[in-house]
Amino acid sequence: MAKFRSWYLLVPAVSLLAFIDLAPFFYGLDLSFQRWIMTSPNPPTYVGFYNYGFLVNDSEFLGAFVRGVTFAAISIACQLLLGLGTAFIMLRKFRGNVAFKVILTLPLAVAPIAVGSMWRIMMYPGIGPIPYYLKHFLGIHWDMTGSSAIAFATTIMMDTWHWLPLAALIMLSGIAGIPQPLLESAAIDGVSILQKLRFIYLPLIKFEIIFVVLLRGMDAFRIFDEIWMLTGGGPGNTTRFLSVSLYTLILRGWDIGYGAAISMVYVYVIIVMCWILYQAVMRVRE
Amino acid sequence: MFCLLSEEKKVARRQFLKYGGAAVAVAGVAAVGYMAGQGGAPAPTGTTVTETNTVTAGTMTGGPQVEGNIEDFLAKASGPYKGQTVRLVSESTASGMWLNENKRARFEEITGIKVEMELLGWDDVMRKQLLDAQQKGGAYDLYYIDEAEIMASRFDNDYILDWYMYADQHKDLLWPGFNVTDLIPVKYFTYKGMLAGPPFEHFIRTIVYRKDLFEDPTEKQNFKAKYGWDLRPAQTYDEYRQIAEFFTRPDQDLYGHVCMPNSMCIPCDMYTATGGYGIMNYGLATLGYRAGYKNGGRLDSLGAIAWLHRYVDLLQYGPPGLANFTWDDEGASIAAGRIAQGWVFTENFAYIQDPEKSPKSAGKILCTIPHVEPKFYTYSTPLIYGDAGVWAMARSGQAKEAAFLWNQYATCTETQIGQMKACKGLAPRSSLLYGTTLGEELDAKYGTNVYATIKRATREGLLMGPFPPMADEPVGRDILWKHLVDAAAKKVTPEDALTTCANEMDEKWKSLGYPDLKGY
Repeated sequence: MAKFRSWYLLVPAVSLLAFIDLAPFFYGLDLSFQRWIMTSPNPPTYVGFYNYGFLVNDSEFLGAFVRGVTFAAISIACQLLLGLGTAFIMLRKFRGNVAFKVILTLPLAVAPIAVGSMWRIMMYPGIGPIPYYLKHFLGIHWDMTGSSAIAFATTIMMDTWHWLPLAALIMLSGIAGIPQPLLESAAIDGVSILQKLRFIYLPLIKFEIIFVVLLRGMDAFRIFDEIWMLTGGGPGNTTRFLSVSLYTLILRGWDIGYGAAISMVYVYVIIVMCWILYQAVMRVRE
Repeated sequence: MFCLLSEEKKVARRQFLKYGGAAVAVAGVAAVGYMAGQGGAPAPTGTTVTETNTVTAGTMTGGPQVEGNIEDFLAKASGPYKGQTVRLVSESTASGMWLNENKRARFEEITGIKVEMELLGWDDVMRKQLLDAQQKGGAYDLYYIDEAEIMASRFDNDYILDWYMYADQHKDLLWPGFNVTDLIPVKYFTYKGMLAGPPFEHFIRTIVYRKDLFEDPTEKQNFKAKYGWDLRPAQTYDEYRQIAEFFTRPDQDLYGHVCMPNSMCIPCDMYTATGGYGIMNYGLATLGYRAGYKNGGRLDSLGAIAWLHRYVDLLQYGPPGLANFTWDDEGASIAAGRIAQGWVFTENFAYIQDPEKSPKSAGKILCTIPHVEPKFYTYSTPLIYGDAGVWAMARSGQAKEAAFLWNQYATCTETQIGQMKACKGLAPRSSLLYGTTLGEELDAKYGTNVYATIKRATREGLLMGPFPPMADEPVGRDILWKHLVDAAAKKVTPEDALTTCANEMDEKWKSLGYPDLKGY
């Protein structure tokens, strides 16, 4: 009894978490096997795996999935590269180092919806300062509402601006943990900067890199608030990632059953990413 | 602070905190009591329109002659319901905002019934009321409905009451002088013989143009020199396009076209944008609920494809950001004086024609009947989209009687007179439009012809109604807008967009059990 006392003490908390986390999941799973359009007078009916079968052939779903993955991949690459550079800058001691760090981390404090609103106002053609100055000083016509490529690039810039500090701080923690004697002996041996990066820094901060990739990957794949505010998914379907597509399907089309099926696939992908992160972290620790 | 006082005057810290705390507590109680005594919403601000609460003799002809006015009736009828609160969620349209600012407090004064109006964007309104209706939450007594398919859905799901039946069962609450059939959009909100409610707003979507630019001698001369015909409102698509091209001058922040290609609005735009050959019913066949041409529908017909080509082509003449424009952005662009010609809902005339709010557009905007291409003309008459809104009584509402009284007050003739004067582009009642000179007076006062256009549209049967009453329509709309915005962004050709859309839609209708032609 005493042996299991600690487990008994956990029961209330675990039960509450199970209820909050698992109950909606199982309800959503149940809905995914039904055809239920909320505006229709027809009651929900069980249709087995029909929704999942439809999903596999649905060009809208597949397109949104691919766009989401592409966005996440490019966004993470930018955040990794720039985060690494920023981490090195933060490591150096210079005047205003502290203020620099504080200013750098300010975007993390901004709510996602506010980030989206802010960037929308900044980048909106005819209103925002960024397109104005780009046109006047560089002759670049930056219209995120009219050009798919520009809209996609803008979403990546926005996401990078928002989460670069996080990537930088994580990698800074890794770089700061590298033993100094190692760096000193490398300096004595006349190792170049690139060699130092390749043979010392990158291998020793592998854990942090993987952590950033998977943590940000999950977040970037799930992104909604910023994209919805910035572009609403447009122009066309350029920035209509899976989350945006799901939102319009459920809260405009009111196709609850099919939306639940897409949600289940979404959750599954995120769980797989979590599992990969866990495996990678465990392996690196070993 | 304490060290600045003399020894005699120094207050012990503990005493200071004691007396200070007591003072704060008393002040707090007083503040709470004051706020409780105030209650309700602050006094309305905004548009002030001077009007009488009785029908002005000399401007009304015909109509029922009833003793006493509606306010007297409401004051008596509301007796048992004093103190109740009517809650409604509605789109933040000009009429809704005007009623909120100018009539809500007066209604409360007369009846003792409070009205709480949540004025939100259309998407939020639909979401909130559908969730409330589905859960039978009773959070709202009235639901805003502006499309026939939404009405059909609400009726089919038994979320709203039949206004006719309710009026019949509560004759004591119906003002004898209330004429519901006088309201022009009543037919839009009648479904299987049931009425969702008396419409409180009615306006049209039509083409407008800048009078000052079209009448400017220099502009006229230059236009004639370039295109070979006299500048006037377009009567064909090609003329519209040439005018759009002529007036698109980004360096002057002037553009020749505006519409609403935003993902939420583009299905509505497809009814009206160019040519008058809008695709009704999402191109669905008259029988059979199929959209594809091969299945008897018209969504991917030659006319529809031609329409979409032209719609996409015209977007180049719009202001920056046009691809994201909603109906509000359209109106705002026109009000800012940036648009030489374009599409707009006349509800936006509330500020477009207001000299104080929009000095760049007030007095300069004229309406014109949209052009038509006979070879693509699929219906004999409808050219102008008639839009309207109603507050339907929620079955789960907690204050149905009070809501019924508010509905009458919001849509009675007296209120509608004030609304016409304030909003400058709304005309729900036939008797006011045709039986008075109010429309002509307002047109003359604001230098426009919106009421003349509305009169012509209703008189000549030019109005096309809203979407067809089909409860599953949101599913079709959700498929439709995605392909339309893809075409508008030039990611796919109009042919591909409409063909793919028609196929997807047919697949969806089939899966939902809607019959095709073979079923007949």
